[in-house]
Amino acid sequence: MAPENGYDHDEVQSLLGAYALDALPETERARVAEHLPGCAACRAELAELTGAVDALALTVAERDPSPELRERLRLAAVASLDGAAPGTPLAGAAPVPDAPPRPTAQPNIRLVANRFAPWAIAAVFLLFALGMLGWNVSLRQQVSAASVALQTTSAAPAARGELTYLKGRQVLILDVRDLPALAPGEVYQVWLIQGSTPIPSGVFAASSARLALAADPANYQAVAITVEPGPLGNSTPQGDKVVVTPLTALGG
Amino acid sequence: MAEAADVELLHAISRRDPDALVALYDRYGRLAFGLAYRILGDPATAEEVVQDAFMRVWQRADSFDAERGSLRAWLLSIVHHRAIDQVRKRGIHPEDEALDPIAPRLGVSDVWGDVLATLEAEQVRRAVAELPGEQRQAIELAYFGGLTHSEIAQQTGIPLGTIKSRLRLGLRRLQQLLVADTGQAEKISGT
Repeated sequence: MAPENGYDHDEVQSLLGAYALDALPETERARVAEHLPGCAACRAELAELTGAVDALALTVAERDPSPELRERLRLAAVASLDGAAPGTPLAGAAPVPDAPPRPTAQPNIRLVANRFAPWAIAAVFLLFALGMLGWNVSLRQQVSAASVALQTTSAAPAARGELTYLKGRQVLILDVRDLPALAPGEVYQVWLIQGSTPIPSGVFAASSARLALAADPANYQAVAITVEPGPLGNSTPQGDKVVVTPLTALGG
Repeated sequence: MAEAADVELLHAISRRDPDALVALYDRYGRLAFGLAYRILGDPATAEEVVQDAFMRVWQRADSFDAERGSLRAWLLSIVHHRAIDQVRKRGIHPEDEALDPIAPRLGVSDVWGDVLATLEAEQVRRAVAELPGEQRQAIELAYFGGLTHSEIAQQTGIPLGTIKSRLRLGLRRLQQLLVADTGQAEKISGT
């Protein structure tokens, strides 16, 4: 009723249909939104109109998306969980052509889901395994698994964590916590050591992370983590080692 | 009953169970994609929108009050808003990008929430078909076309004031038809 913003009650009311349909330009939309908290009558009408708008969605014909969408969604959900990151760099992939980046609350989800093409099959599998690990089901009781503690260096005195090998899935889970904070532009890079050759196996920038590596420890001697320049890391380790853990106890 | 199962799914999603999100997708993914595709006409962008919407539910399940509304309606409203957002990004009105697609729903009454959760597609199609043609047209241009009220007025050559009232009256009529059809009329008027 108070036309302080230039809109009286009747004007707002006449716009409620368009408002419910999200069919108002921003200035008008904002004025309606301003009026609502103080006007029970408009709120009540809007609730009814909004319900009708919601019902319109049901009039469309159902349609099959591509079968991959289901796993992409699962992947994105699992990847968003605390500490679960895929063991591969996310940066540097090609942008998605059809969808200009939008400001969303979870930009990384899009990255993970869309920039994975070459890794999709492996990543879906790995993250599925990771996902199961995190839930109320204790995977260790269901799948043969073995763990060793990470061995950290003097460069990361507070760090700890473990390596767990899921034999049935040939997935090595690297769980590390409390690494020192990185300088801007640096990343932690994971290496699987095969003979004397370090194979780059993923980067992360947090001080705690959980990564899934598609690796059978029998084929490697050790896992190491070093500090390297971001966002992609190096092709061979150059920086300080923070973790070096032999895989002998896991069959390496 | 779908509604009760939705509440359980929502709780599991709040507990961060990805299987619950996938189960929700199995239940409503085809409908969500049908809606996004209808608006966008482009399967790749429609899939992006659908994935975004499900991820939004995943991230925001805590903030959704299942007592106050239907999970299906919430999900589809996110799909709708994001799809319209994409349509508008194709170059009509950049200023509309500021719209928050998931503003919390204001006070949908409990009974109306129940109606929404149990509506069948055929009921809604029937009710929409009963609307006067000019109301239906205006609503569809806004809902599926992403047009604003003034764009609808321009495209149809009908005065803006008339479009405003067609949108409002059409939606009210639709709501009444749906409530009557689900046999909830007395309960609604009693609240």
